[in-house]
Amino acid sequence: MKYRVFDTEEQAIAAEAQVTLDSGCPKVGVNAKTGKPEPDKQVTERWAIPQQIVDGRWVFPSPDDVGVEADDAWWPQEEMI
Amino acid sequence: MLGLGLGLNKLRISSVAWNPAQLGASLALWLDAEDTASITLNGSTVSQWSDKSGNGRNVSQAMAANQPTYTASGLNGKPVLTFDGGDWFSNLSLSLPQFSVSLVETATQNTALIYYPVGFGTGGISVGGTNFGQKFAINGTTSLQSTENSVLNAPTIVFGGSNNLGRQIAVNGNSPATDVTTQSITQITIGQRSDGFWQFFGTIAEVVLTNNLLSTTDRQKLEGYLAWKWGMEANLPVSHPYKTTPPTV
Repeated sequence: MKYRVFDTEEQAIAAEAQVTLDSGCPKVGVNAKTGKPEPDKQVTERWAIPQQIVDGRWVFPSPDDVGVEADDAWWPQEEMI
Repeated sequence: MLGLGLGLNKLRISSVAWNPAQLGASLALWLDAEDTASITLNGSTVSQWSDKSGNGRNVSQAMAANQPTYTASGLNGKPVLTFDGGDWFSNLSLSLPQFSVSLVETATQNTALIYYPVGFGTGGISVGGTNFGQKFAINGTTSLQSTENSVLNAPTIVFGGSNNLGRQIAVNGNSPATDVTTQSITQITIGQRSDGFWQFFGTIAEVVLTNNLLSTTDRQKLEGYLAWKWGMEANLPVSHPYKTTPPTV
């Protein structure tokens, strides 16, 4: 998965808001069996929540192929004890 | 004649297929991708996976970017949910001092790292990459690893749990690895660890959570049910009681 990367939280929030708008959120879920909308169940509210990575920048998953692949060094390291 | 009739009735009853509902009050959460009525779609992604246990513990994801993809013929011609390393369902608060988690998963990416198809509070059931010996593990303050390795793109039945005597983790119906560490659940997350890290790369077909560590008999029934349902009975060891036939009630 590719991510869009920003220097500041404000930049990331603004960009994510535009993606949310473009993707048509909020969307009402559709039952996989009946194909009918289920407004009483899940509503997809937005595209993503920007997340701060280890180096201080802000990222969110790209809706398309524009962006960069996540680097494992972005996230805190996991240790198995 | 009467005796023969009773005998036939018994035979008919015993042929009813076993499923997780037979676990009764032990069943805490049951997510089944084959049951399309339990899946709510947002286009091609899944916004809610509804609980079949009767406890109403539906798991959901309101963010489109973080919803797993619905794959209609993912395993044995049945649907699965595909997690791309950035997908998960939001945490459920659930406090269980003893528990077991059984799942059918297929890891589709192997890196140096560790990934969590199921998280619970601190830790979860993990699939380890090269830095973690390719093992499955039940992780908390410490980790208990499986004997068997994780194999890339190979559907696998994973069982992990704990009671007041210790923990177990078993893979594909083999004898579980055990230790004497106890562990509890405070929340449950599908697709990542509950603190938001180490998202899973792969597919999940079914998840069954119980509020106790299953007995060997019930664990094997659940393994047999999952294996036969998802076309994985060949994975079971020869000594498994449901190697040649699925469990019945």
